[in-house]
Amino acid sequence: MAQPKASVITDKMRAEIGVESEPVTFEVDNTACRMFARAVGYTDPIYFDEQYAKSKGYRGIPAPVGFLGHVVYNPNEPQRLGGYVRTDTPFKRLLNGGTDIEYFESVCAGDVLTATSKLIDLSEREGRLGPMLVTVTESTYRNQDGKLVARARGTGIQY
Amino acid sequence: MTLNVGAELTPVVVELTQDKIDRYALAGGDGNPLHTDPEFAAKTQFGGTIAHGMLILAYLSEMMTAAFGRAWLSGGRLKVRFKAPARPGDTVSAVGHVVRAEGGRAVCAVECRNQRDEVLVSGEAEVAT
Repeated sequence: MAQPKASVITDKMRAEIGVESEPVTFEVDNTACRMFARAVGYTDPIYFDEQYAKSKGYRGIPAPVGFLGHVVYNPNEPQRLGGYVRTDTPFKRLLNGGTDIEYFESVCAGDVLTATSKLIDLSEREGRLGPMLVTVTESTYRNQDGKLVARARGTGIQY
Repeated sequence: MTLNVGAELTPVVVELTQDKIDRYALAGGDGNPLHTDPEFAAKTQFGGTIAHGMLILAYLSEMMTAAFGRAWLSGGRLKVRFKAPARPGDTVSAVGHVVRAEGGRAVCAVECRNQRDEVLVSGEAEVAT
């Protein structure tokens, strides 16, 4: 019988499950919403024309689904990596395995979101790509009024 | 939007190009060279660049926005698995149909397929009706 392979999941990694990160600020502005909408080929004027978006009942240009603003960059602070990129594993490559994103309120240009993330699951699998570490991370986004606006769960595959 | 179970959503069909992938990398802030550097990507097991999963997901969201409008943008849920890579030159079709409609919510089975009918992304989209 083959010996089971040594796990790459350490006790230290397991101890991180459920621990909330420090909050990160995301700004949502007209330019970034338009840029994202252009990049994915959207032509709906709600993403480009603020007055039109308001006439359709939005507070401003809505952020396309999947875009929750950009992290405010500060060269004097350490760069924050995405929640699911682990550098303490033997794996050097990363793929997006899946996404579960849920909206509770619209997100519009002008909003300032605060997000915290936590690791919710770690597992190992043997797949087409060889041994893989599968991480599930959950990020929760609140707006400037403290309202929960979105929750996103991402499955990262490191291999 | 007809919410009868089985009702088909109007598909979104996109010709994927490297230029579109590059623009997404800039807008989404994801600079992984697997998406943008053909020379690097050629040496990986993918043999060439592949689109960001989130770019393909955007086509599903476009289909849902066209069908459900604000209800989608302010209270939708999209839960998908990425099954296979999408490459420049592929024709990506986002398709879906209503599988359940009850209690003020509709659940749609959604998929993106390429020109060879291979499933790239599959999952569920849920929205208030």
